[in-house]
Amino acid sequence: MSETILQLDGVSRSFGGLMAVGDVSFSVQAGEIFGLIGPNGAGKTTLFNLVSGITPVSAGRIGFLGRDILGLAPHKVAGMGMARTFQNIRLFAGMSVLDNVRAPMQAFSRTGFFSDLLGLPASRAQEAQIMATAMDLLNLVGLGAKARAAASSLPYGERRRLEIARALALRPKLLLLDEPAAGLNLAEKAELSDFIRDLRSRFDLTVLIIEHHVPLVMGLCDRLAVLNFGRLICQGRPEEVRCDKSVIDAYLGDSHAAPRT
Amino acid sequence: MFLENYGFLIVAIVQQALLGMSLWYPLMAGQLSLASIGFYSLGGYIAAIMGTSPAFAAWREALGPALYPVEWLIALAASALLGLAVGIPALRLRGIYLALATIAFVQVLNVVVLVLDVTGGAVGLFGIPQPFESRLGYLWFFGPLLAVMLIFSARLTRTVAGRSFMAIREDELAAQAMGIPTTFEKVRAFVIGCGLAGVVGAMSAPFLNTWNARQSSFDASVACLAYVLIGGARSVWGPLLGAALLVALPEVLRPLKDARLIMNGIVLVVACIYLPQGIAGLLASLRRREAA
Ligand SMILES: Nc1ncnc2c1ncn2[C@@H]1O[C@H](COP(=O)(O)OP(=O)(O)OP(=O)(O)O)[C@@H](O)[C@H]1O
Ligand SMILES: [Mg+2]
Repeated sequence: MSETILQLDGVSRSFGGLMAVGDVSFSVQAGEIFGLIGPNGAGKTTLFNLVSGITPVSAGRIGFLGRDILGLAPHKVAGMGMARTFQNIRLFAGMSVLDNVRAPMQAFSRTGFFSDLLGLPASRAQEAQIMATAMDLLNLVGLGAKARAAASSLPYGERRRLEIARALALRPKLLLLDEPAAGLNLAEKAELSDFIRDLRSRFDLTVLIIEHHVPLVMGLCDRLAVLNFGRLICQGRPEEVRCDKSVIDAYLGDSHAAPRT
Repeated sequence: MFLENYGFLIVAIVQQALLGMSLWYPLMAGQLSLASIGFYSLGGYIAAIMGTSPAFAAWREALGPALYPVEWLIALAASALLGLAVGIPALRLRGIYLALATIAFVQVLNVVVLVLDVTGGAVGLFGIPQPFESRLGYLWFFGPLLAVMLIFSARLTRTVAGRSFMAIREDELAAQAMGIPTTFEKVRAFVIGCGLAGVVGAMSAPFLNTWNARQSSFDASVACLAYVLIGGARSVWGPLLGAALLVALPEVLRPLKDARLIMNGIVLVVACIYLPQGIAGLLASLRRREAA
């Protein structure tokens, strides 16, 4: 039995009268690719915001790496090794592609403010290190040649990839991906599965992924959780979830009753 | 001839550019502050008191001209400390609320200054000793400071902290999610600006010869912000370009008499509408066009 990375116990969040996430419990094991699916408005993104500390929970507990992270500021949660992307892409648009990836690496800085300003040897060595790591990450997502371009100048698909590279710069143990395939064409979607698997083995990652594209989810994930109206209606391995009656009713509907994988 | 006539103007441009720069640092971290003028006032009072009060007679005797750098250092330390005290609660506020809080801070400071004895109440302090014969001489104060701050700004954009500032400016929530301690970095950017404004104040007290609560008027606050916005908040040169234009313009337009105020206003409005990145942004895009 592998170690539990993320543990949710009865997590709830309401906005006014609306129960966006209600009494959700599940756990994610180290090294898993865990999928989170459900129809529009099911509460998937809200759940990501709760887990990453951006939105406070109304009730329940969240454990990350064996530690209770409720009430912890988002940057502290991130610093523990949790990085994420956003459904609606939130890059540092006015900064260069390179600086987008370098910015999160402040977490590992061992030099002082004045040393950096003066460019003392320790700071220069660290900058060289940061630069090398950032270029490795950019090359990994195929953006090495665009390092000096403004992030806002990238086409859509490349923005998605830059956001993943930026998240990886945090050296996360757990990576949260919110609809990484949204807006990508079919060829790009097909590549994405292999890319995420490759990331997992290369960086020893655990991945929690929200995705609408059923073939992608079924083929990629080790386990799935299905949300509907904020409730967890089912979880398990893809083939179990696919055959669950409530899931077919709530989410997959008739047209998706037998998704091809 | 020219230098003598325009000595005051040249020094005023550099001095105002430095004040603009003190707002540039918080803006680099996305924070709109109007507090600088309060720290400028504080620094000025420190220099004015040390330069005129009998209590500091022994210091003046012992230090001679070395009194000036000592004043700057004390102003720097006092402004940075007060900046920390004001910044930590104020920077929890966002956008327009932060701006309002900093305006309120300046008003409070002005009232304190009016009721205190050491600050000379409403009359203020005058007869502050002057180290230079001519106005232009003060370039020896402000010029090196400007050079140091320009290098500081340029270096800052290439450091770990500078990248955190810009990340917060671009998207505060994403910056947090990427592990950047946003409150800490915002306070740091704010305190850098406060410290600079304090030193500029300490240098300005001898330059202006007298110091009173009118130094920190709301108009002066807004003028400092205008330098940065007109010059360009995203360029190291922005505050200098903006101050050069806005401080020189009324002088250049002097022959137009009252119409110059209208011209002044028109320049502001046109710049806001057509130069969203300020003069520095315009120059950069012209250079890019030439290269292409
Ligand atoms: N900050 C907020 N304030 C009020 N209501 C919110 C807020 N955030 C989310 N909601 C509501 O909570 C519900 C769940 O939204 P959420 O974005 O989590 O859904 P989702 O599963 O990610 O949907 P999608 O597939 O469309 O991205 C929606 O009804 C949404 O309107
Ligand atoms: Mg969503």
